[in-house]
Amino acid sequence: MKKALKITFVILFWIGIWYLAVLIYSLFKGMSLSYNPLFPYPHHVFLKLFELFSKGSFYLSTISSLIRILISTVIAVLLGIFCAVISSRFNFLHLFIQPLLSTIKSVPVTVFVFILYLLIFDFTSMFITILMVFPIVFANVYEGIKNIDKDLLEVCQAYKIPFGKRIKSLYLPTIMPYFVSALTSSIGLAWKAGIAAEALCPPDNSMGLHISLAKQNIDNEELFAWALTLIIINLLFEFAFKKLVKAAFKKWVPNEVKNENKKSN
Amino acid sequence: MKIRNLTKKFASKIIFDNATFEFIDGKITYITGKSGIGKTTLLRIIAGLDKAYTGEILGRSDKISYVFQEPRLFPNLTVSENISVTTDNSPYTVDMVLKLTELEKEKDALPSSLSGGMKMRIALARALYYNGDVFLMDEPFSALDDATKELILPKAFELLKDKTVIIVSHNIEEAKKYADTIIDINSPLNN
Repeated sequence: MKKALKITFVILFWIGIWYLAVLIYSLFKGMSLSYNPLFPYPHHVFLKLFELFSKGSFYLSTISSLIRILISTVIAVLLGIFCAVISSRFNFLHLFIQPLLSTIKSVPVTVFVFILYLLIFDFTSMFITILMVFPIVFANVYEGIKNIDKDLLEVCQAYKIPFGKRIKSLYLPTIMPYFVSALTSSIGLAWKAGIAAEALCPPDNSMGLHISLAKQNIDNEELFAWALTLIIINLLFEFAFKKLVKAAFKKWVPNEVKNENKKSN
Repeated sequence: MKIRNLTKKFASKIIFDNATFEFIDGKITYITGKSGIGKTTLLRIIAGLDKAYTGEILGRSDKISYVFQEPRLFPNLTVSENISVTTDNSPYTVDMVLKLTELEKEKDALPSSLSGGMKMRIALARALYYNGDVFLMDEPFSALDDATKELILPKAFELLKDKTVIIVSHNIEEAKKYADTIIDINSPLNN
């Protein structure tokens, strides 16, 4: 109950700041204090949001965007794991992938979107999401594999422990923390980059298309409403992800770490 | 088991130069010698962990139990899991080897909650459970106090009476007490 009260207070505080910011902006610009179409008040945005909720296209676009981003994230994760595993096995492949990683890191998303726009219009946002998530998963899983205790590998070798048991008792417990860290960083990024790409190169039935249209029509109330939707979905997504990771990761976390977590909670 | 014409180098440093060693089945051989002379290297060669040598090893079994200088336990596995992970076909039970090493109460504990001596006893229990034909032990008892040694070693050696046991140790008194043969490799080039 206390936690819910605290969260409500924090939300109300920031809504208050929002009101104040609109008020100051309107005064500064000499605009009406009761209605500002460029920087809308929270209640106008909430009304717009409820209006969006009543439309079927809102749900179709949101679900389509979610599915697209989820599929691309899964592809990027699988690709990242695969490349990390083979790169750790064959060093020359790691060298081979480096230029790709450097390119992804240094070239802005917008440039990729403009390049891909003409090549694979409908799949641009999916490809961008893969480009953003792949390097994070690859780098983390690769690091995890490289950090596997060589002494314990020798134990496996000396006792001829079968590969399946090695995976379960050595590889997974070492790599999983790196993998989870990669996923945690990727989720928010995948969402942001995917929607940004959709807005720049909007496929049918997408949140990006609505954001792009709202921008063209200078309908900032709708733009804010979509931004709020993105925040809400991202929060729900992160919450669900954390629960999922907690359940899946539990068996690889030593008991004393779990106990320490309990104490700190 | 016999090692013939063993030559092993680390960069320009010669560890063994055409050396020959013989280990008698069913006997306990202690290997002594000063630090850096190649005792651990010899065990690693026998275990097949170091293959960068010339020479031949005759009569070596494929099933070797190895107690390393450090416990080398899987941190995410419990004591009993650390033991049972090595094989599904042990003639012994995990409880039996834990009892022998005085660790029954720690069965479900994680290695991080145990002392250095206890961890070393788990490593010994693991090796016993695996039941190799050859037992390689690298300073296995240095972390144990005398009372624990007195309690555990006779029982462990009883279990190993048909095995080829090779123990690296600095402790000459211990070697004199338990060894059937002592190999001093302070002059490895002359072995």
